[in-house]
Amino acid sequence: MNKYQKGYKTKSQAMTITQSKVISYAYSSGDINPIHINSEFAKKTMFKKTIAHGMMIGAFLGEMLFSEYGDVWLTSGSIDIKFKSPIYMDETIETYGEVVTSENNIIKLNVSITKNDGTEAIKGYATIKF
Amino acid sequence: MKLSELDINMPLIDTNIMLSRDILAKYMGSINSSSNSDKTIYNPIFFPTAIIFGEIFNKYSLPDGTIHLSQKISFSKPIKQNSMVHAFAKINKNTIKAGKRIISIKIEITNDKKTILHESMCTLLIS
Repeated sequence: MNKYQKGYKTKSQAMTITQSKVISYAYSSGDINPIHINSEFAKKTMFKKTIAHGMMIGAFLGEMLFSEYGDVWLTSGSIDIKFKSPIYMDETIETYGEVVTSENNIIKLNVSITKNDGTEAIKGYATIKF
Repeated sequence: MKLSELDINMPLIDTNIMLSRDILAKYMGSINSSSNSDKTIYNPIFFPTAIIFGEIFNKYSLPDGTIHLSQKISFSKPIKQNSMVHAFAKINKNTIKAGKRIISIKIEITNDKKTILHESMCTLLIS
């Protein structure tokens, strides 16, 4: 199936989120909120444990779409996502994308990130003009 | 200064930011995609906004328990790696719903010709 056709499913990507990756993300992005990197601080919050940055997890969707659509994605896309559930350290997540409409050289994809327990962590959609 | 105490339309940042290849390499390593940035001359979509968030969150304090509810990014032009951009961010909405404060931040990234490259909107729930 053509990747611009309705019904096309992108290749899923799975990864495990580790504290070292989150710390690396925190210091490269500059978002060093202790909820992400300090377990003692995190114990006092509603999450009780450190959580990954929403933008870090969202970036996996960006990379999934880049792997499928290359520079077309980087030059003419948009993404709108909602963060539904926090991602804790050592949780495995998987990306998902499916073309749901394809009209006038614009595709719309439903995108999501699901945890290995089935919980949806991120849900939203992306559009690409081609 | 606390982000939650700022007025609507208050500029949060209005500055040039260098999206260096060095920072990009570290960023890509953290999301297991270090090879993807070698396949294009452009920055990944989330990268510029992530760097600007870092600038905002370091400048303004957020209360414990702040939750990032949603993120919208649209891009009219790609941003080349290792380029300087201008970032402007402001409070777009600051309301209280069911006892919780909700703040929206709008970010505009422009080039030296003032052309908008990326626009993004994030919504934060502050307990």
